[in-house]
Amino acid sequence: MNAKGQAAVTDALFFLMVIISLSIFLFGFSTTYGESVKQQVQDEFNVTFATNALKTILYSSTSRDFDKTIYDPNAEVDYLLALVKEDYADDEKMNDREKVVLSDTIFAVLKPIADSTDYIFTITVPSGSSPKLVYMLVHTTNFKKDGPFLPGRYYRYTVDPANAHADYFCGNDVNYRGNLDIKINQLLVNVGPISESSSPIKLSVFGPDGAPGTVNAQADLIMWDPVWLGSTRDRTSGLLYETDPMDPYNEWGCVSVADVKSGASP
Amino acid sequence: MLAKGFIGPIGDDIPSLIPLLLGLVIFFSTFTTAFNSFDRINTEFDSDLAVMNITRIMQSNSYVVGYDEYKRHCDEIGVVNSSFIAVLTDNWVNESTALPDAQSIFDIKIFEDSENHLYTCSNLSSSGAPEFISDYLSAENAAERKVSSRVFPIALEDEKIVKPMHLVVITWR
Repeated sequence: MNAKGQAAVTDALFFLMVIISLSIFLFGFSTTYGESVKQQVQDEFNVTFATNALKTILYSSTSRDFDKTIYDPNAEVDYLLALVKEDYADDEKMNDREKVVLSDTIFAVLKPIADSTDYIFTITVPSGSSPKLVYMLVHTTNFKKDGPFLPGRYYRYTVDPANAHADYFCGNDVNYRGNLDIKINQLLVNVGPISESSSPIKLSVFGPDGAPGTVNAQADLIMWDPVWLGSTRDRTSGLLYETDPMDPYNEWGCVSVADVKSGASP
Repeated sequence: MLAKGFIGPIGDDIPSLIPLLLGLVIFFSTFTTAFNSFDRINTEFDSDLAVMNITRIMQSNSYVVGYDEYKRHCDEIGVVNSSFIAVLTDNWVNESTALPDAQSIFDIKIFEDSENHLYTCSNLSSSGAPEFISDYLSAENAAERKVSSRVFPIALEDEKIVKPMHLVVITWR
């Protein structure tokens, strides 16, 4: 009888072992269930947002009077892209006022996600013998880097809520082809997953004989979750700045949007 | 002597019943936890899919030509197994209607065009004339429900001006 009792206990222990194994498998499966689908849904939302944002920016109207908005009943309203084309046609670059007008619309359209997303908006003339950066707006989180407080420990990154973001117009007076375009690509491959939307547009130009024409250009909106773009222990050179997000590398040719707005920029 | 320690056919197996019962308890506890987890995640997927479907219809090509088109898109929304609201707002764009930073989506004001059309679409009736999202779903009510919300930029043509707007879609059960 004792032997019979031991056999029953052994069987029960085996049963318990099988149950525990199954339970561990089931629990593990349930905790990861839907993770990939959830990520895909989030990616879909991000891409849809980027696409909609770019379309909305390019479709939008704006006031021709820079001190008025489209909601002002006395404002002379035109398409934002028309204003950009007109300005570009003058001297094949964008002036500060038009840059500010375009940035106001970009900031307004992207405001719902501005706190949780960094982004770059560019207008480029990609083809032809001299690819050109016409416009570049960078919105990045103004991280402060502290520490490490103990040797070998990690740095601490914080954000001052009162001055949470750094916004620049970049690509001013710098060589785009073979220099800035490489830096932009280097930044984008290092910031993690990005949501990107592109749209072909046409910019107006005047030929050597003064005849009006158009040139193919491209508007891009690229968004990513905020990350530190400065130097790290493993990355001795920063992606956009060294240690201070308000002080980007000179190679980027950046000026603060606030400075341009206040007229302090050269 | 043969009966020493023998306390009956079941009593003799009592020690083996303990791991058996323990195993059953572990299994059913895990099964219940997993089932609840699947159910919760599936509900979230349903909410997300509902938001995506409503958004896809309402945004169309990200350009809405006036109130008639907005209502036409609204009428195209089929049966949704959730309560939903889809509104256009200029709260993020228009400084005169801008929300203070700390306010929630329930305080978003529904856009009213120059002809006094309210850009709202829902399978619910609001409490009175809707003006804010909270007229359909208040923050207090939302706390008791599974709410899914998304915001997308959209362009609206109003008075021949293309105004940047935001489409806010909220579903809940």
